[in-house]
Amino acid sequence: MATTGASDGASAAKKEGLVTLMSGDGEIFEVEAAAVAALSVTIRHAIEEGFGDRPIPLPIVGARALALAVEYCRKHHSLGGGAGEDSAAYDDELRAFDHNLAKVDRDTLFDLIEAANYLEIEGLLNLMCRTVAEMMKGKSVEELRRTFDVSNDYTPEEEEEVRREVSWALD
Amino acid sequence: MESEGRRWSEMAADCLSLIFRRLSLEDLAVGVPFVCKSWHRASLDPLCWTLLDFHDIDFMPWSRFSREFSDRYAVPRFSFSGFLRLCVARSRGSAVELAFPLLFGASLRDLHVAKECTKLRKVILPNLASEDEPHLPEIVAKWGELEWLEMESKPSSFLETAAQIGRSSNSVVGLKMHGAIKKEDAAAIVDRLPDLKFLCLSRSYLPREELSAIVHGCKNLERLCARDCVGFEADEEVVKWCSGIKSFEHEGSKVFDEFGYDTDECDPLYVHVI
Repeated sequence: MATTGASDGASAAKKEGLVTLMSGDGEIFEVEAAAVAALSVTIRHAIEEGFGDRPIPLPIVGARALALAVEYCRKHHSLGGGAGEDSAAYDDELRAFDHNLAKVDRDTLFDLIEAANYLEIEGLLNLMCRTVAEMMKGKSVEELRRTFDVSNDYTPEEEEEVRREVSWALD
Repeated sequence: MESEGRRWSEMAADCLSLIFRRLSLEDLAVGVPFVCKSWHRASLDPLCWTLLDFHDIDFMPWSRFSREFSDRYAVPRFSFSGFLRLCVARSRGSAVELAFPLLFGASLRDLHVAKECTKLRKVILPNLASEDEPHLPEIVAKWGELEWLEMESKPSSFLETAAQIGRSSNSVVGLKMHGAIKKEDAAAIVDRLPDLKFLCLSRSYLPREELSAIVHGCKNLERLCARDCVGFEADEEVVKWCSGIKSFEHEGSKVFDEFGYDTDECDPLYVHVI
């Protein structure tokens, strides 16, 4: 996906109703303030604190995740007014958009979860966590390690400690 | 950030626990904690243990989950009671929903463990042993934030239980049970649980007069399920009584029981429970 909304630099002429975001890797995005402020608590607070005229630095959010998060905010703001999944405004088009967004690869899922957590975009965070949880459900320890490429860092003693932790309840 | 291959073991713990809280109790117990140390730490977050749904877990000794748990934790004996204690301890009082396993019932000891969950909003109880039912009022007394209670069958202590719920919790909006609904039961529902929005009495012995008392007394009812009941038929008058209720389900309810066994004292639907 193209980095929609990216511009050449923070010095670009300020347009009415826009806010400038700077990703952790230094890319600049000019986006509709109303859309991102409605969905992202972090950006709303930054705008309220007077960041509106300067680029808002988002140190832990990469450009690609930020572009996707901004796209999410735009879509949900224009179609659903930013309301959650329980609202009547969460219609088929938004559902299809979310469904497609959740089809990204594992690394992007990871980035989007950390981005949504940092930006406090509740709907996006829920969507991505639910997607990852679905990938985990019913899997054995070995399958989980394979799926998420995690290596076993337990020593036998440490694993024994995990067992001991629960023994009080089971006696 | 944008380097190759994200390390899921290094994901922020609060993000991991947001994922883990969506997993079943089985996955939380025998899956994620053994993957790596950081996942184990994240799985101990009480937020992962707020929805204690044991409803569909098979605790038979030969079930997949029982065997996996015994293997992983090297315990010779695995039981629902032990697992309940573990999950309640992990929740550290933050559990908001508790559903007992359908097939395994609950002992009085289990109920006393559940009593520690003082933030419970929704509880689904199994069939209780008749000698345990008198203790139900002291158990529900601890659930001050209770909003929703489902019971397999109407307990013998229903009147005292309803009275206690009425005293200790002022926000119960949902009740489900089945059994013989008598005059005093209908009165208890109306007097003690006046804010009910959802009431399910399907498969009950529910005489017309008691149905009338309930629908005229519970003014906030939005959904009433009274399917397959014996004691009333949804004739024109009954439907009129219920016209203010958004959803009134009465399929299969009839005045007399075709099978002809005594419906007055014993639970007419006992046979269906097994």
